[in-house]
Amino acid sequence: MPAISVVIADRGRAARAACRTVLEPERDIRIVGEAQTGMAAVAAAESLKPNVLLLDLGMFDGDARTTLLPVIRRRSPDTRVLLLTERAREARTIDALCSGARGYLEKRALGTYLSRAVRAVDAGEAWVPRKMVATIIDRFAHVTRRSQRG
Amino acid sequence: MTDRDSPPLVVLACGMAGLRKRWRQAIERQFALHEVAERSSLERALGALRPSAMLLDLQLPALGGIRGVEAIQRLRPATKILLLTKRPDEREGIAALKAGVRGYCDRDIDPILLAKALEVVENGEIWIGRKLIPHLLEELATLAEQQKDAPTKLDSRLERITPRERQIVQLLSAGASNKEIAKRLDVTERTVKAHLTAVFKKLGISGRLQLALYALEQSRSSESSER
Repeated sequence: MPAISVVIADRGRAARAACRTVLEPERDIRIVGEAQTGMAAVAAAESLKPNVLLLDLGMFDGDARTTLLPVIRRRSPDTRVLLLTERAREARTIDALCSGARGYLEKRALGTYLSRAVRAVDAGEAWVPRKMVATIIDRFAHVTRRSQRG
Repeated sequence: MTDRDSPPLVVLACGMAGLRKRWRQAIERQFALHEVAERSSLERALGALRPSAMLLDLQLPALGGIRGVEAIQRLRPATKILLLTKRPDEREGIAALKAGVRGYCDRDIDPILLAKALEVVENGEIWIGRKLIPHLLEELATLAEQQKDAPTKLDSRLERITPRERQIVQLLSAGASNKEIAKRLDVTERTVKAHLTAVFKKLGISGRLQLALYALEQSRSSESSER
């Protein structure tokens, strides 16, 4: 089976290095690129078409939170995005999850969960804690009602 | 006995007596129950009893599938629906969630799990299979995309910016820093910043990344303008 290709997009050198340290020993995962800015992440997703893009939620400023992900989706539809967050900021994270990410991981949990999360997201699963599910569904019901009305 | 002390009322709606019995045995210790075997008696029970939750068999006689579920939910939005189905699948699950159900599972679910599921739903939480979640996220992202009519609006706003500003936007969306843009256009960095501030204002955009993304999407939509 071919390895899961991964691009690491994070502003911080330390966070990128931490991802590398965790993922490099994994034989089924291959890091194919890195990006330090949101635009570089878009470009890397488009040109490298990775299976999984690790995307720092801190790269998003203002409305970009909800704009960056749709752009990535359109330019590399098969890439699955796993968000990296400083700590769970529910509102931000939910916005991002609802605009195309497949899950999120707090950076302090990288060592424990990153490899598993990458595999899960690559396999088409979501990497979201159970308690977040109700919030997502409420949002879903809300959005659905709105789109039925409009 | 006050209302508060009595167990919550749950309606069991299923056409098959054997299945109803299994459900009943699974939950009768925690809940007060009322059983119905087809749609019209379900509707009557909802109005008269105001149950807290219901176990609803998607194959209930005369229900009419997911559309019927939606109608039942509208009839009494406060009653939480745990929808049980013959063979759960993702498409049906998503449709059920759209209809407003709070739980969705196999109708032959293990009794202990059924009790747990009902407890969760009755409590205001959600009971669905983990496999549904990525489909849900996908659906949400698609809905969000459909609702955005920003490109057309922005298009007219883009016409308000000057050729010089446009040039700067193009360089910025190619990833250039202010310094690089200044060098390219042979102006000072301060001038670049001033131009950018004006552009942000004209377009109602808050930051560089946002601007670059817009520019990128604009070029894309003009490449495929027939859409």
